[in-house]
Amino acid sequence: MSNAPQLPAPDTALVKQAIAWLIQLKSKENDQATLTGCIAWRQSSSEHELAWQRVNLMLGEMQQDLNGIPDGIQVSQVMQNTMRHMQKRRSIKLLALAAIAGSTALMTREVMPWQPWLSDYHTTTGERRSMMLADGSELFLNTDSSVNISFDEHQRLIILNQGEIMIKTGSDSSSPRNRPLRVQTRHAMLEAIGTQFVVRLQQDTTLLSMQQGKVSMMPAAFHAPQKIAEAGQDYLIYQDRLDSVQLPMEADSWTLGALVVKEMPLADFLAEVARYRTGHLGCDPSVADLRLSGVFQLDDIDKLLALLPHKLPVVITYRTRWWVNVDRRA
Amino acid sequence: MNTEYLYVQHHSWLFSWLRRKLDCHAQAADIAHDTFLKLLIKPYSKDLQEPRAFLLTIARGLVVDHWRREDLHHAWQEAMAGIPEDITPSVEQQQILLATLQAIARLLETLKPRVREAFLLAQLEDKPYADIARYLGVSIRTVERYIAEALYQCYQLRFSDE
Repeated sequence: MSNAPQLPAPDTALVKQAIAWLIQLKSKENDQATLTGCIAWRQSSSEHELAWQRVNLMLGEMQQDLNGIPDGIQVSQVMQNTMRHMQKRRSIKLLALAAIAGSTALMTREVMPWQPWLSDYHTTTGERRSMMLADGSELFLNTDSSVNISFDEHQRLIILNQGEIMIKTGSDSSSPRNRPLRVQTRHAMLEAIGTQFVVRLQQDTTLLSMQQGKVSMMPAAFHAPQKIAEAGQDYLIYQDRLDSVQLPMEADSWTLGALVVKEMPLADFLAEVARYRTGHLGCDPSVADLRLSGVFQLDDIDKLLALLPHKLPVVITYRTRWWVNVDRRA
Repeated sequence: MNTEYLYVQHHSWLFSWLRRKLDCHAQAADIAHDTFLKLLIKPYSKDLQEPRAFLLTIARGLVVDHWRREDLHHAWQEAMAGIPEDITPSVEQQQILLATLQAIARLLETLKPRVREAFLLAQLEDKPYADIARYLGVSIRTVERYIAEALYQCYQLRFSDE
């Protein structure tokens, strides 16, 4: 440390305090009291300041080391995938190794208990994935989504915790009896009747968009009406009611990596696109109602945004990489 | 008991054991070699009671390192496949990044799964704590605790040689 090279390494307690301040600063962004408190803590002794410097040095180095990672690579996903494989290998192979070594006391590394990965899936922002479930159904996960899957002898249950999924139901031929396939959200239970459909969880409502077959909709409230959604229909499902709606977009086009919209207000379009990238994406009220139609590729959101000035009288302003605004062209 | 003696006595079974584990002659030979190399670098008790167990502990650590490198490499390649060629980093840059990620992966393995997930989202994806809390279904306070735990581990790893 350039300002205090002669000081011994700070004690554990101080390092932990420095980390706690750092976290508070991030948690309460722009909070003046936290900022003042942190500065006062740093200034109260040179050991405090040293601990602070070293924690920040460590973080800075980490950031710098990771700087070369290209945009579009989800580092956390790469790491999670690595961990997942490692865990699998360890639980299978290392137990065998331990037996050969003849002394379990030598197992210094903890063998993690098997995680229920097989039944929990999630995607990060910008990521999409599809998978085949045990019954032959296909499940597509859109950006920033999470599901728990729980199949038992009575039902095939998919709990949507966040985001959006599409399901193409399979025949469930390996099961002795035909188990219903259900999707549960905090607003409703949906039961598939041979079918393909998209379910999106939003703040106050669940959006159901039917491509093929039928789905029976059961809102969470006991007295709420139940109804069957048919192919081509879209519904907003609240806890206590069902509203039929017409979407200005093809609800399932994301499974093909595209956004297909028709006469969609720009503000809504940007809200859609914002789901696929981190950071702020907004627009000036004067352009919010401009209508947009077309097919947009979701693989490169910056490229997608760059198309907008060709279609509408707007300019894209990048204040930082994470703060993008769409304004009226002067 | 010197390293040379250990080598003569134990290289052969260690090598065949590694070959069985790794299904690869060359990798088994490499790791067997590295195991003894570690003995040379790292001081160990001269009256080793259980040399086999001792060697296996080292070899096992190296096997885990090898797997981790392989898994990471694989996950990285998978992610890179979706990246346009013009922004693909050079082979050297990728090697450097992989080395960093390897160090982070080693650290992550010592963390509980939820702590690890919170750390990844906060430090590598720069997600707000409130989002992470919602995602993990825990309170913001808990997320803060997770991150503090992970950062402290990072700190210890960074300054471990002092």
